[in-house]
Amino acid sequence: MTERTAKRDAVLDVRGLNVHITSDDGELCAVADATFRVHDGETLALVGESGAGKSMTALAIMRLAQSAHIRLSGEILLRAGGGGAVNLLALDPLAMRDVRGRLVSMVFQEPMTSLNPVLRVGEQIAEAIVSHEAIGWPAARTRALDMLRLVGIADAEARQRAFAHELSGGMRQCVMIAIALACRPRLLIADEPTTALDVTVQAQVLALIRSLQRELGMAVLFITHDLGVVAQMADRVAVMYAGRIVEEAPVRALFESPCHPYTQGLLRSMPNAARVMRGRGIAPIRGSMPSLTRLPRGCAFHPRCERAEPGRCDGDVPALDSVDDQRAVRCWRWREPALAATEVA
Amino acid sequence: MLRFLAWRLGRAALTVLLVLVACFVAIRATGSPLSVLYPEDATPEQAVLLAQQWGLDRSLPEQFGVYIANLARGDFGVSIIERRPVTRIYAEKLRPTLQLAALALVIGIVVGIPLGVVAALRRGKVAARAAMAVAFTGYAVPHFIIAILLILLFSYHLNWLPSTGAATPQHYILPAVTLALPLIAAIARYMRSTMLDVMNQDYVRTARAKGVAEPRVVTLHVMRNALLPLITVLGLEVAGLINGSLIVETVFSWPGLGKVLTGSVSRRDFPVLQFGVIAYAMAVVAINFLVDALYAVADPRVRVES
Amino acid sequence: MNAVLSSATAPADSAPEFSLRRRLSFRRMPASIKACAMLAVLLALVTVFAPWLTPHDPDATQILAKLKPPAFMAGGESTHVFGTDQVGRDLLSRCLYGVRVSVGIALLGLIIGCLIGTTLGVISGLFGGMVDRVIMMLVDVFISVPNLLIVLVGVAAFGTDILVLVFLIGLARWETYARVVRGQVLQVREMPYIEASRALGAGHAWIATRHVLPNIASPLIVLLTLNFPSILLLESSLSFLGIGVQPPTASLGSMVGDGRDHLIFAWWVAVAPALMIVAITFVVQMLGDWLRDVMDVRIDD
Repeated sequence: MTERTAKRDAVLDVRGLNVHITSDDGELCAVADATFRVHDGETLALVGESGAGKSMTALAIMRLAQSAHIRLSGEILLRAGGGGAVNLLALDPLAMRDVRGRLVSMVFQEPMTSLNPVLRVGEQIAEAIVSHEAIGWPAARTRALDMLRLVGIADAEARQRAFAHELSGGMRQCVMIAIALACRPRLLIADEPTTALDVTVQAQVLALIRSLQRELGMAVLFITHDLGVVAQMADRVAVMYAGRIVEEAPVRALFESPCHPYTQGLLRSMPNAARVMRGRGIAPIRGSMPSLTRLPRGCAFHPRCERAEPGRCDGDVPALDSVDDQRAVRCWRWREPALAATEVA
Repeated sequence: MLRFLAWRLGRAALTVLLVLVACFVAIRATGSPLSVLYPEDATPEQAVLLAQQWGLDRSLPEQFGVYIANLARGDFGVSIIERRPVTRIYAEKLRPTLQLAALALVIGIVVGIPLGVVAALRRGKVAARAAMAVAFTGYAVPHFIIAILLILLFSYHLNWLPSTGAATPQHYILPAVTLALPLIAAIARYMRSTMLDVMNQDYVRTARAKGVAEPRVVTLHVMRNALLPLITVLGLEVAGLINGSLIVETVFSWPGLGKVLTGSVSRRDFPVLQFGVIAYAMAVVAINFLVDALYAVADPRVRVES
Repeated sequence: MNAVLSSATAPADSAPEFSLRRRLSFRRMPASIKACAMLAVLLALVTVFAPWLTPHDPDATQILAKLKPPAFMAGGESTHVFGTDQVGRDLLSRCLYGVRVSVGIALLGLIIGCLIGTTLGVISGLFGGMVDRVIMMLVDVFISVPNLLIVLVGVAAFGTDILVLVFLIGLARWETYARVVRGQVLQVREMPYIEASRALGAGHAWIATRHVLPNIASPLIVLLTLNFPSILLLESSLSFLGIGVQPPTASLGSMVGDGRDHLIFAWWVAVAPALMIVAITFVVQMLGDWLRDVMDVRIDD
């Protein structure tokens, strides 16, 4: 695993991405200095509470978070096709449009509202194909039908002519996946794709994404707040807190020996049948994530951190330190044994 | 869809019924219905005949039944002033009114929708501010003032356009523009707000995420969805259009129904007023029902609902 | 897990009342709204103090000084700032009195419509069922019938007495209040504290006055402000047509109607009161739009 990852190229290489939002209340930094890679064929999970900046990161990569109030800086390098990397932030709008849906696709959280209510779903899939390929509508419709079959929708011929409101939530999300994958993208960004679904449907959609990923050989950036889903889906995990990535690690290492106090807290607060049986219950993190408009000085987590050290943790923002060639953590005190040894599982 | 339309049909019927009741009550409130519905110089024999025909010797609910029956037979009475059946008076004046209203409606749609679209797409820019300033003015200035200012400027000062009558095509310009301005304002305002609403919808983001070209996003995904509720709004604006046409026709001495109807109030010509109110109400109801049907066909969410 | 993670979104600052009061404060208004607010105060003062402000008796005719142009034009006199009308009455004085009549009628009509609509809306929302359906049907009917027709029938039947006029004008927009109030009542009704007070035996009337009315205050304020211009326009349109306020009383609308006959040679007779109407509706409409945005009230047109 280690060897292979090192050799493989990164499809997506995000370096020092910042998202600044100006509002009536002043300027805030929704994403600060985000740096991570997604390699060919792997799944990177981006984990954090709502408001941590996960979705904003995803929208920034797609350049869908654009308005007069939002400023992006840093580099988002995409290596796709034969040539070298392109910086998505430097592309003009027309070139960026061609990237969206062809090289990078996105599936959103709300299947109920993400489909156009007045267009038949088959048309909406075909539209994605027509937008990128020199192909007529009839041929695109045939391909749309294939996509519906691919995502496992029964009776695809009839469903092709359905409107969104005639489909169940799970089916709509499958249609969204069909739209996203219609042009065989190299990278799929899935922003909490199962949060709005029932638990049983959730499992089916997750399995579908996994199998399509293997079949089409694409990379997935999977955004979620659910650590159970992370364990199921991810190869590597990046944990976000208050706009910054605080820890990055392979999934097994993260669950077995989390380095950052916040990650440790998250794992402890996760309901775990085995642990509850042992009488240890859930231990929520005290307090709540600070508003991005009034971040505390230094490490944003220090007011909630059990091991915060006055004078150090509330001074400067810690840098993202490499733990080994696979792992990194943003904490002043991660080397200190009391932290590293905390048992979680 | 059928249930939706049946519900709307019921509402239309209720509207007509309420208007009829209002007219019935209004005529009774002024005293003897005969004296307001028929010429005063009718002979005693005629009066007795009419009293029987209208069932004036019976109870009020029965009288209402007779009243409805008479209306259903097409007997709307005779103008007290002109001594002619009111239906004939209205038939003569119908065409100019319809022409003017239709022209104003077309101008309102053709100008109002683009204004609203520009205001939404160029939000915060000069073009958008100008568009909304036009819309705001049309909203806050009444028809009769627009009319007077236009007449002053284009008829008296510049001497470009005639101000009264309907003799030539040029005669249509000022009344139609006057009638259309508030409509333009209402449509532009509504179009802008629904466009802004739709632009924030998740499915528009989906369209962009799959790489659809921006012109297609705006026309197919944003405008198509924003125009749907506008259909309903147009139905409601018909009421405002009729309000306006009554005034505009009076100001411009338009040879249409407006002057007949408003004139009948000050002359207390009840048969004329009654028929006018009923006819206008029926027109509103019919148009609204058509609009509902159109909406039901255009929106798949209503189409399938059963 | 869910519970832990979602707790982060609710910011603990911003108590709504505080921020609303702050946003409504004069200092935080945009410049255009400040100007409108000051003009509105000025209009209110004119309405109240018209008799002390007018330079001339508004009804005093002066045939020798008829159709004098405004002061800034050639032939104008500084004693008649807006000029004079066809029988030599001072237009400025007449306009100030006209504002009084027009605004007075519009305010009374506004209150009547608000009372009718609010009452029916509260009843509709609290009782629900058949009562609700009948009232909402009535609302639908009133929206689709042109209100000028209603007023025409009413005036023809009951005459142009000013009280009749006020009542008929008040009828014009009652349905807007009924719809908004009903929606608010339905929302409030679902709140736990209403359930609780009902469980404690509170009656409909008690719930309506004690719990519902405070909650509908801000949508009502916005609606009243937004409806005021349209009611004023209805009154002035009627008076313009000659079926509203009758002489010798003059509203701004009837003054424009009188001036129409002299447009060619003395445009100011019609334009002066017309500009007053436009100024009033403009100012109030701007304030209404602003209030709606600031108070964050959603009103479907």
